[in-house]
Amino acid sequence: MGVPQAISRTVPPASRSFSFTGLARRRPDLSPEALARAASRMTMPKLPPRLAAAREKVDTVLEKRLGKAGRGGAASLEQRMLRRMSFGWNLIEQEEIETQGMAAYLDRQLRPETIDDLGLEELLLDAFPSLSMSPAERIFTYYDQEETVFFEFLLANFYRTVYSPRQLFERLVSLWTDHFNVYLFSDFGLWLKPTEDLEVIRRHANGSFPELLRASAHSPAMLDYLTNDSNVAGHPNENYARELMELHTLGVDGGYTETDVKEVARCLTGWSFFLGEGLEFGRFRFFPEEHDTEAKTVLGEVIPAGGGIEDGERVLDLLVAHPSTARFVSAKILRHFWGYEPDAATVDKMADLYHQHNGDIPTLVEATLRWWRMTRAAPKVKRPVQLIHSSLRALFAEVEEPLLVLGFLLAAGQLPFHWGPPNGYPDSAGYWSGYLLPRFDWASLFLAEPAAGVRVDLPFLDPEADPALLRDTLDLLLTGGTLGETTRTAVESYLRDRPAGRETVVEAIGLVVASPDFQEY
Amino acid sequence: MCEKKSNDGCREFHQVSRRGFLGGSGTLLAGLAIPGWLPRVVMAQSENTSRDVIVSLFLRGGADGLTLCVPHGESAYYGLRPNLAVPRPDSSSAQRASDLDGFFGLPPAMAPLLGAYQAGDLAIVHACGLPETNRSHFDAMHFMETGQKNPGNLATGWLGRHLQNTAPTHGEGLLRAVGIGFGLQRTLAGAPRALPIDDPASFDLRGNPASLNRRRLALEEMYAEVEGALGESARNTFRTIDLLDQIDFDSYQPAAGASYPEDELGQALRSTAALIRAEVGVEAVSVDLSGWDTHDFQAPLDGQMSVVMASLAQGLAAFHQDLDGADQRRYVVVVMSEFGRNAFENGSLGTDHGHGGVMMALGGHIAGGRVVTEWPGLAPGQLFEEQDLAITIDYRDVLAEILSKRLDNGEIGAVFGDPSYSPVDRGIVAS
Repeated sequence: MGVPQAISRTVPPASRSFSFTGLARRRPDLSPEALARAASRMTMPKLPPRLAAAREKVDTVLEKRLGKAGRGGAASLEQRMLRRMSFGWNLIEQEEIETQGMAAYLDRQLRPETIDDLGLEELLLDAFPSLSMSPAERIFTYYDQEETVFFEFLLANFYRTVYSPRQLFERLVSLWTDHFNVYLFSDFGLWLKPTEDLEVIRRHANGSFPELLRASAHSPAMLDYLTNDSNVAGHPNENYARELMELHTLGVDGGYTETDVKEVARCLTGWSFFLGEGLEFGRFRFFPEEHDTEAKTVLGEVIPAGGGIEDGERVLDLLVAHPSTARFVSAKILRHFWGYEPDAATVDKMADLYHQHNGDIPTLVEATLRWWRMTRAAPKVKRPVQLIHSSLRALFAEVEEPLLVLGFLLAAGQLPFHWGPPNGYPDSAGYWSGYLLPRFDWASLFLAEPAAGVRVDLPFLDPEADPALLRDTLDLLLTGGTLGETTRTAVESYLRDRPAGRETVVEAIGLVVASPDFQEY
Repeated sequence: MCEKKSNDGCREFHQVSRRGFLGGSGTLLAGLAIPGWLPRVVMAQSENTSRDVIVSLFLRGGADGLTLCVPHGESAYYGLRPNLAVPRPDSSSAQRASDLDGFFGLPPAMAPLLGAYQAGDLAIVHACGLPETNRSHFDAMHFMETGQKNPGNLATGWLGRHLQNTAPTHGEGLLRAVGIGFGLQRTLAGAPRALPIDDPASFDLRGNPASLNRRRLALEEMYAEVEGALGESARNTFRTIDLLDQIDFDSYQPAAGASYPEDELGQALRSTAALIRAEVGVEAVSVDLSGWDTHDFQAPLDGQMSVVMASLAQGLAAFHQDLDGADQRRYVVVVMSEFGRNAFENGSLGTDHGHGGVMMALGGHIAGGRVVTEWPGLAPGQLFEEQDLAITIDYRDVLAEILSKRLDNGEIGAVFGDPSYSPVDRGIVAS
């Protein structure tokens, strides 16, 4: 299907300001003007050529498959696996999983370091210098330009989650970012969180849970966010101690008492970070003079008097080895990748694996993503990030104005690193299935004018083609040919009713993205 | 389906609108000075006027009741809070509390509420809360929002179940409940015809105007038969677009010169007032205000907590002034938080999670102008678990009284589902 009139366009957005006022309303000390200034200073990186080139195969794949598929129907196992392992299925990944076989594909995704990232990390570290700085360098360089740090951090996250070939890894990063939630705008969050993202979450996301937890407990971003920096002998502050058990390890019904909360808080007195000027700013530090050296009892175990930092380390050891932690973490992984309501027997089996493999995360993820488990996985509702990313990924879109996409994420309620309470963005159908309008907005605006700065090259989509063929093509391209009959009919009749042309095809794509079929994964 | 929108409204809307009537009465309407923001369609015909619109305002994070409403008559308070106490009303400090009844007072940031209090429309309920000990934010919120002692997997909220068990006040009830925000608050979960809406003022489909109606038709076709929450919300969304399209939020004029703060709560309450005054059938609104988890630098007078209290007080004061000025008295706001904070301040000039706290009820039929309490005291032997303000009033007593006396709910048992609980009448609603 060679086509002259291609959907290939770049529309310069009317303004670079995404809802700056919306953001400023939530963060009053970031003024819309300062944000707009920072935005105008930013240079958006071009995708690395090798990454862009990977998209060119789609034309061939689409043409090859169009004859066989596009009749609607249930998703294949491979499709379901891909949806669960990524921020959005697409045709090229579908080819890869079919060529490699499911086990091999999963195996590779579980070893992200073996996957060529096509130059993405290098590009980001180069384009966004604040990412890899230490907190001290960051605050010295950007103390009067905090908006730049904000944008660079969010944009790096955006590029990685949309474009990285290491999709399963990025999903794990997102899972642990929620699990160990740190609000970007807590006290020193903006200076500390980008370092924590790199050195705690990304370093350990696919490693060992005990190591991840220990790294988090030593991270200034977490200690600042949950105010452990002011937890001192004689005046304990229970904030971090409580969430450490409730949200990070044991779970609220994990068998600890209010006394345990107090005792753990005492064990963690003096765990803080360096706040003064100098290169040490924002590094972890234990302050012995602030530590409570009396004896404590945590979860029935006596921690003798006279200890220092080892009291807190002992607590972390107790927590990572606790059966409740094994169950809580297993259930969290199951919920993220498999379904909202994992049954107790499955959770217990996973918890056994946790103990046998010392909380090895890839082992737990692999066990969750077993094909036979996936055959019984009920659909989950996409969170806004997934809805937006999956539409961009399916279309192999090049985003030229990612700030505007951030605006859509803000409007839909899931701007990354922006959840205030320590429990992270919800992962539940009940929470996310209510507010559909921002999803409809995204669907109808991201390719239309005034554009969100999204560029899509789809030379094979012929606006003059027969509506039934166009419908099949869109179905195949966006969902792998799994749209239900109702949606297919609605899309086709839309294509018939509206004047043939690029605009109508773009609107039909919007309808697929807004469809009930596309809201779940 | 909505092929033609504009001034005629949509087909669905015709079922309940009185467009025909109004259309034929243009001259009559022209003679009335109806504010421009009001709906063009008024649905008073089938309205049940016996019920208040309820606004449930949740203070997320555990609000410190001992600061929200200061027990200045209790000397132990000043011992427990050497750095965080609000000065007595008779002190010479510019930051002193405003006395309410000789024992309690409001901190300076809450002073905007004195008007509503003195008008008798605001009642403060003290030493109140969730009787079970629970110092986890998420657990305590879960219990209070579901209204259950042991919610287990129960997914519905107390207000959601109330709406399930009562008929709509307006016709078939196109939109009965709104949760201001991105996700529906658990308080409202299970409510029929409920939607989370972050900004009611801009609730409409966007994109190419030339294809808008046709796109909407396609969306309605796709979602018509979808089961579960997704289909339900989509259909609610289409109905709500039409409903809210009737109200011009941007030119909304608060009555009596009320001025809402520009912050999130202020704007949420402004939209809520517009919804209530437009009488489009919204019966319940859920709103959140976060920022109460003051583990460090609580600063009740000049920082963290005073800022969030000012937002609360200024927002509610404007809301009261607006509705009162518009002679709209059939509303009730209930303010609650998951727990109060520890009676002792901690070493970080803040307070850790505690127990008893404050609830507030504001409305046209509230027996206000007083602090409702069975004050347990703050002396050493009187503290709960030797550290917190005790709870002498079950939070459900406040909700139950409002539900039964102002919202026509005769089945309080069905809301709380706890056979061991029988509500105590605290006289919060005016008889």
